[in-house]
Amino acid sequence: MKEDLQHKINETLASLDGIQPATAPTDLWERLQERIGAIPVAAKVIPIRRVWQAAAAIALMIGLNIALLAYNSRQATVSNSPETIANAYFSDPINNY
Amino acid sequence: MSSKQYQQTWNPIESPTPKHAAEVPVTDFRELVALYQHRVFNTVLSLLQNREDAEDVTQEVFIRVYQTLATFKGESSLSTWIYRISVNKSLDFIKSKKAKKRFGLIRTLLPENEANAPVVPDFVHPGVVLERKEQAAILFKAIEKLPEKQKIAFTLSKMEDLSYAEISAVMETSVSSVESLLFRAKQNLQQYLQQHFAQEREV
Repeated sequence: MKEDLQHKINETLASLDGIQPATAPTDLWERLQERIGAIPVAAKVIPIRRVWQAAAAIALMIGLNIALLAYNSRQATVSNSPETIANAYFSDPINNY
Repeated sequence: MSSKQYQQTWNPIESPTPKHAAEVPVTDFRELVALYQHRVFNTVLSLLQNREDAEDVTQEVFIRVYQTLATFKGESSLSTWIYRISVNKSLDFIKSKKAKKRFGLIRTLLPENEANAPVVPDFVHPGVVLERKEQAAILFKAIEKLPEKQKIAFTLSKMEDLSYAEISAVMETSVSSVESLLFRAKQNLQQYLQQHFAQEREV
């Protein structure tokens, strides 16, 4: 009885031996073509290199802006200090009497 | 582009690293599809055990391949990468189908829908030898009950005849884990079949 059961199990487990692979539907390419055509151009593929290039360009722009802002604000602080204004005032011969 | 020219630029069999997808015209992608369509379909069909679903998911796999060729770094072979996409897409499909089933179960609780519950027929793989179809159907039912990873390892081994190393590359795990997964899968299948035949005898 037990042997019979084990024999059945073994036979079932071996039922996939020599199985042939299933073949894809013959119209797969036609269906794919339709779907590929339906993908919007922008959504198709953006090469990873181009993404990095864009990110680098944006980072460079932001960096340049920050550097320019820092430079300008430093210049403004120097030119607006009371000493600078006083020096400029007294260096003018009209005010220096 | 002639096929000779194409082979000079990118041969999916010899070169595991394709050019960016944007540089791969659709006509060349056709060769890739022709090369892998049966392997993809057979894998997906074995995992989903339904022909219509397998046809849809096979399309999804190739659309995914087409869209993500640019991100393929060539760290694994092209076939490993495509197998991985096939497995992942199949698992995603199974998950979404299970979620739909759960929702459907709630609906079937309503009295008027009781008779409308769909009857799922036994799956018979088209490549099974005629005399073994009945036994294979029982085995596929048992495979369906296996835990996810065991099912993937067993399917890739039995249906696609992949080596342990190839399966480990597809599943991104070690060869020893694959060995253990296959060992446990066979043990579980034995148990399921024992229960099945015991129940059959009782009936």
